[in-house]
Amino acid sequence: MTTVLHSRLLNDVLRDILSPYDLPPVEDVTTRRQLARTLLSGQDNGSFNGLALAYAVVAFCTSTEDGATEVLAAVGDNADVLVLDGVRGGYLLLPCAQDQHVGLARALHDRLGSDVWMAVAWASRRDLASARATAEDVLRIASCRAPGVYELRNVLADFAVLRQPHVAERLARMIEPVVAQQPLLDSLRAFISEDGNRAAAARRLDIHRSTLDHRLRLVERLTGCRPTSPRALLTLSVALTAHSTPQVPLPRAY
Amino acid sequence: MGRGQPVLFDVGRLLHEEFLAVYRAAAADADGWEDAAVSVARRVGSRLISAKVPVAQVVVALRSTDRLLTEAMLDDGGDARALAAAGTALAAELMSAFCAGDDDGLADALLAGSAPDGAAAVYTVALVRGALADRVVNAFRRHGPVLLATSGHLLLPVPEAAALPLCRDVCAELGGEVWFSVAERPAARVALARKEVDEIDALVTSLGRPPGVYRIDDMLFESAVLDTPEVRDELDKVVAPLLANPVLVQTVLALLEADGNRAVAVRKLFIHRSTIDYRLWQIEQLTGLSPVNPRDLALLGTAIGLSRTNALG
Repeated sequence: MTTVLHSRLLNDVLRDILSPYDLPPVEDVTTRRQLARTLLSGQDNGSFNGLALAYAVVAFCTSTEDGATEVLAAVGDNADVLVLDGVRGGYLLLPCAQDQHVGLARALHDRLGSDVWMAVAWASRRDLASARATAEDVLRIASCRAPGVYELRNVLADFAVLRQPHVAERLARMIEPVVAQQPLLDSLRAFISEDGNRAAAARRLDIHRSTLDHRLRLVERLTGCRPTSPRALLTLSVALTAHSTPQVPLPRAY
Repeated sequence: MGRGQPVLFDVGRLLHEEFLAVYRAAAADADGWEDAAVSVARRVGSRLISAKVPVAQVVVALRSTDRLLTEAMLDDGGDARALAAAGTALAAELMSAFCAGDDDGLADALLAGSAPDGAAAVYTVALVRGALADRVVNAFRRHGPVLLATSGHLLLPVPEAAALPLCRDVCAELGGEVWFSVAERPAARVALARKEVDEIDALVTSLGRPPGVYRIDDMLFESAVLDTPEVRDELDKVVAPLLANPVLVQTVLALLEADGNRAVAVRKLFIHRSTIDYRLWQIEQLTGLSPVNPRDLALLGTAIGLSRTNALG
């Protein structure tokens, strides 16, 4: 897998050409894992040779253990990639120039057969800890959606709410009465999935359109948010995220 | 008036007990009864406000108390002229304290973080934009007690659940372009409510929300975005190409106001249906967000609003 040779940052390229062999050998999994953990926790004191100046941080999770094995196998032969793996998820550190991290992650994802969710963020070496935290939160949100590659800009609204616990708490409380009634929750979810198209949402649920309208009015009565208003629908949607965003099976990086 | 708030004590009896000393002093033409009248009347006025006593009940109680006390003092040979002056002074001060509410600086004290005697248990702080303070205060007074602080914030001695319909009524009465920002806190934490309404007000203004009554719940999403630097930066990047094109910005805002209904937005913008379709396509090309998707549309609106906040800040 090519990683940095298309880089626009000359330093990245030079550095990888000049000293790629200072990294522990691929077989020394434990040392390389420790190195990845050091970088991701922001404890890099600049003393490591052979490291790129910037990385794509990929947080991934899979529905099966085999899926995780497949991800690791896909990068296993690349001496530049650092891995911090868990049972059904982990982090990959891919040397990468700015603006190429999404393409890089997609290329990797395309080679995988099983259901894999990936969240990717790019950072220079000294900012890897915050990129890791971003990737983790993006992955938490993405894990409720279709498998694929996600970055911050795909999940901006939900991410903002997850990052503000007092807001998340208030929104979760607001949506609670809707979550407690399965038909209302299903209707709201379908309405959101169908981008506010009532006819399509009713078809998806196999209910009459007027039944759906009635349930959406109940949602409004319970939350004060009218689903047919775009702003209110966004609020309802991030409230659902705030109410139930799962933790993802990522290894501790700190 | 009389919104079913329980009166926990007998107003007539309270007035009788509090005013008795003043009438006695006046009847005896003792020095300093005027000052005593002012301080007693103000204290009682604040207490009646916090007890949410309707104004009509105060007026009835004032009349009967004055009659009873005046007759009693006259029987004892008091000075009729001085008694009449005392009654007038007490009534005037009490009503002025009861109506203005903040003669003692109660509103300012609460906003500054203290909870003086006579304060209600809980307050809803309201900030009104688009109408003169006097007009707003008078409109509220027709419904019940209200305190006006020097900062222009209004304090309603009721919880938010009761204040919201009240504010909506007043908003409708005032008419025109009026924005209400409201937040509730216990008396000791009214300062936090003020901070919250200021934040709501700033968001409502910069995001160009339509006139109406707003709580923090209505603005939670925006405030989360505002407080998350990574998201602000990314959102700035996403909409930067859009902001360079005022026609597209106007299109987003019109579509948002029309709840995403293109036919309505087209009429508002005086453009052809195919024109808006082309513009929406352009917006998606520039930002990667699709204005046809309601959540993306709302996010675009938020980004445009926040870019104005940035410009203001």
